[in-house]
Amino acid sequence: MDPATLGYIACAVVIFLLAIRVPIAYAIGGVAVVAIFIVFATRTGTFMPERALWTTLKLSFSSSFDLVHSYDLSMIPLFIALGHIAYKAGITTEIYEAARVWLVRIPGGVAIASVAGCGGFSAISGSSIACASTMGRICTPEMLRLNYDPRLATASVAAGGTLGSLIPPSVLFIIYGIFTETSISQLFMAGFLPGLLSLLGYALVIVLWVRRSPEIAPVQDQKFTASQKLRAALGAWPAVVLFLMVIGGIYGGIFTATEAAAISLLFATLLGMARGFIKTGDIIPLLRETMSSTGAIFFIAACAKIFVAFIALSGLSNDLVTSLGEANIGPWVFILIVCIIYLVLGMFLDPVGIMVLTLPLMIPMVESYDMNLIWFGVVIVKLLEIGLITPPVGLNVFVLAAVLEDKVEIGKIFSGLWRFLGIDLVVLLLLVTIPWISLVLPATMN
Amino acid sequence: MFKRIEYALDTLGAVAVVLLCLLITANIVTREFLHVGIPDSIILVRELMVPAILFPLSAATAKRAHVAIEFIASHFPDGLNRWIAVLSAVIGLIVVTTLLVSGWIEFAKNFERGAHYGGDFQLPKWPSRALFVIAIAMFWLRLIQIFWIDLKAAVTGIPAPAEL
Repeated sequence: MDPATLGYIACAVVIFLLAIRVPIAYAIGGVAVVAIFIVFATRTGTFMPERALWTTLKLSFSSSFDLVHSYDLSMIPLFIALGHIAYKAGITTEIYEAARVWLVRIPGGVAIASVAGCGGFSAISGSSIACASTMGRICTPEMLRLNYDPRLATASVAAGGTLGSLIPPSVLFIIYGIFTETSISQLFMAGFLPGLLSLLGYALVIVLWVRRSPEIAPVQDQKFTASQKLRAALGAWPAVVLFLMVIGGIYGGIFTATEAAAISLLFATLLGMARGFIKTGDIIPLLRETMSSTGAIFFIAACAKIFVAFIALSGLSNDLVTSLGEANIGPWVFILIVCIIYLVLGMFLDPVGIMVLTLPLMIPMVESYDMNLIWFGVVIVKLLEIGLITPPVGLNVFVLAAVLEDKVEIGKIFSGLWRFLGIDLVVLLLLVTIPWISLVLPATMN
Repeated sequence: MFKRIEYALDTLGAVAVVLLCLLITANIVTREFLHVGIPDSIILVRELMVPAILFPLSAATAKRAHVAIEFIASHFPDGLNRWIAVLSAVIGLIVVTTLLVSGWIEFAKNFERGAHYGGDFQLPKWPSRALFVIAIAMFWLRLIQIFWIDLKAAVTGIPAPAEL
């Protein structure tokens, strides 16, 4: 059997194992280890298991260890920790509060403030799920208390949570950057305008929805004076400082993305301690919670690196590129196929799993079309974001339902989300057809 | 016993994150104000990444926190799902055993040769490999335990605990 055929079989086995609930890391890693062994054992035409064993061990170790033993990837635990610490330090609540005070009198204003709060949290933390879970604790109960329709109260936060992946920093961009060897700082900058566009899109959806059905968002009697509004806006200064550190620092070339993560985490921790929200003894328990989820993400990525080594060894990606060339598929049709594949996968798989599983096969094909990898990264992350709110497995929806202790049914949350999905597709179309939106900031950064 | 070791590993992982943060920040400060970086700081950050990332894996495994797709399998009968859990543990053991053996070989090789990274301090390569082996060994032991518990559950039909 030639290695490329083994590659196709391995991919089919991985898909089967994933479908029957074998954990993603085990499925990818297990199949990769066995497949690498088979390739080396049968390479010379005769079965040589002993030689294959040592080579498999060496390749598996170097692939996974090099990923973990990485300076650039240290920003993932730091940014995830920043999200937790910022919440404990009260920074997240202040972002939402500032937006709420300014927008409360507008029909649907608290929902728009929630989306704005999600955008603010996204500029601090790198995870969509963390964003949905944190903002779900703050915003949704408040909207339910104000008699907002549960569909609006939940869908706005579930959709807003997806901004966590597009607005920098973003764990997905970091993983994409590592797997495609593109600049993570440029990817961060590339995601900023598309994130902002998505945020405005969500706000537009809320405005139109509430205008059509005013009963879903009762107008609030609460009035705030100009000084109260100003105080609320000024109260959000820590979030502004963190934003300037992360986005401004990277854009201005003052910090690398890793450095921005470290200095922001230190700032948020010291601020939390100065305000009395975080005690010295709280830091390690807080970080312990963070590290559990980070470890699971990294193990998927480490196993995916072994899988990438196998894909390279099998020549499968070359085979796919050749087939693509022979099929004479144009770039627009290719992008359409990519969108369909990612939208379908997004319905069932988690974003990190999709990314590490597909990128090794996808990137050589993208390069064969001479497409910009930074722009392609933004398109992919947007597609993965959409997957977070599509049924049947919209992770943000499930996270939100769990945070709300199932006070709102999952079906009800999904029923409010189709409007947001509609605007997501419009934004996606804009990102695909106007690469300038993604590429203008990376082109001008220091 | 397992829980105590995992608690200690998780704590060490969290301490490693604190050190990462302090080291990278200190490097920025010294670079900007003293125009000199902390020697070998990039190597030190990379070394700290191993405990920061891999030490919590054992506890995550005990909580069955590895991400899986529930959608299709949730329609399967319970008996079949119990056997799938056994299969998952076996596949997990293939990967983890490979990493454990290869990690040990790399550790022994680097320790015997006295391999180092060069740089100002000529930091040895073996500590990160040793930490890798410790983390993966604990992960492996937890997976063995999960395999045994899930196998018993599959054979007897009594559901296995959701968390260990």
